[in-house]
Amino acid sequence: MAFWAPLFSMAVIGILPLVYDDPYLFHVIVIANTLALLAVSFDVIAGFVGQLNLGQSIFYGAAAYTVGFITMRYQIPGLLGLLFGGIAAVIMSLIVGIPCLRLKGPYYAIATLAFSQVLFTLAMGFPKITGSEEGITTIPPFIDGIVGNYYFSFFLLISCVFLVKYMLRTDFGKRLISIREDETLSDFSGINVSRYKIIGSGISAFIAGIAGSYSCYYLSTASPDSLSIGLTFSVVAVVVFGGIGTIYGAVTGAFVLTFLTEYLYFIQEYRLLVYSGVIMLIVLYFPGGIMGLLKEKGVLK
Amino acid sequence: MTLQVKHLSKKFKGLQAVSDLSFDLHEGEILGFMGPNGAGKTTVINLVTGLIKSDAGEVTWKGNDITGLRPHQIVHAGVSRTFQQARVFQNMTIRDNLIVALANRPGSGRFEGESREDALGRILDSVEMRLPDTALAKDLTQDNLRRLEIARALSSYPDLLILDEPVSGLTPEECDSIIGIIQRLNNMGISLFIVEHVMRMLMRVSHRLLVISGGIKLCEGFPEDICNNPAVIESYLGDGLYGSA
Repeated sequence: MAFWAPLFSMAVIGILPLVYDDPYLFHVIVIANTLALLAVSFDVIAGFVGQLNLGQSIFYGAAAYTVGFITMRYQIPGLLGLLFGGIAAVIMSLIVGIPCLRLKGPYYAIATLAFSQVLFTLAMGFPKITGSEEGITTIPPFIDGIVGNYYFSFFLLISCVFLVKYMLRTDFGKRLISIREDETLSDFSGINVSRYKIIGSGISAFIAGIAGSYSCYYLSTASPDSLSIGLTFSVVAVVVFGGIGTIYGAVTGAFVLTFLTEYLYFIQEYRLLVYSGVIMLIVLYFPGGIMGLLKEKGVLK
Repeated sequence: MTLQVKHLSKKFKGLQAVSDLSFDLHEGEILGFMGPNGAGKTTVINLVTGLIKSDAGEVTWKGNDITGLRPHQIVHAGVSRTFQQARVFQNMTIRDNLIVALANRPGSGRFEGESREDALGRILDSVEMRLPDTALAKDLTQDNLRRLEIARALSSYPDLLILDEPVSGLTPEECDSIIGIIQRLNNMGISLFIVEHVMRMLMRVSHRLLVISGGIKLCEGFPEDICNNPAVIESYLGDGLYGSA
């Protein structure tokens, strides 16, 4: 990507609220940013470590419920809430990862999917803690106003993308990628594959946790939807659409698909048809997603 | 001695792949390991390097029992290997292939204090890699893939390097080049355990030879004795004693 592209994007992000006043647009952007964070978290574990985690919503939901539960009982600063959410997600990744990361390929995917369903059922089964179907509601936001949330959600996303891209360039990141390339060969290169997978899963979970906690503050709700398999599948669609293993693809996918969903409301239920059709077209004709397409056309290196 | 294998056995669904195999490999030695196709050579390597678990027997390395350890633990102990089909990280550059392994045991043993850049240069020189280290592994020829695979194995600073059919699929000229690399590595103090079913290659580089057939040790000794051994000649009749390379 040309060096000016990120600078130009940052300038547009910074200036937009100053020259354009559309709260709905900013709300959609905040939603897209949150989904992009979750998609980046999925891309780390699936696209770079090569582990297809179909329980990514576990980390997002666990963080949302943790923040909701703590915030409704104690007055804690919002940033501390985000941190607690991230830590809760990491703990959850250890609970899921230690037994599941020994499994490979589809077995790992199915095991994480099952974990996700177990947690969803548990959330519904303890109404005093989780609020059952309604979830935990009226959680006080820690940033007032849509413009503040617009800037903060961008801050979270950009910091996260920057840190992940940096990490992937380090020796540690290369060792994570080597596991995706050839797990056995990584082992024979002296890498403790199980430990690296657990650390990779923890990093992925922490990002998902930050997304879940922030979303909980922004929407004032921690609901069972945040633990649902449907959310994980949306994230998988976003990452595959954008281009798995690219990070920027996860962000692009999140923005395109969120805007598609939100701005096609005028065609009511047909919007899901269009949404699915677009994803299918990309997957069928451009398996590398949007990023793969841009590389093929020479727009990106 | 550095590597000691005692009474190693492995059975796969009724097939006895390795049976009560014992042998030693001495420090600084090149031990050639030969046998016809299906003799169990690769199974023995897989057992020694922790890829599969043995049913019985013991493997010790520098006096420590390494039986049942996982591959990365055995690599950390100083035993590294290559594979029958050259195996590298295809979508990574030559440099990154080495860094993945290099980062795990920086500058240990006889290269204590060596910087990473020095290590990369030394390792690539030792395998005569002439390509820029930014080249992608998937774009390499078979010959360069073999070099990269050996370089990756060297990046974990092994004292023992196990090579599984290192000249498989190479032309006679490329084969000579790999033989030169093996001799250079040995001169640097690395012990080598080389699996090959092509006897000509092993005769040129090995200090001693170990021969198995049907998972059972036929004999071991100096190359000139082995090639006149009637049991070895008989076991090789199907392949031709000197193979094709």
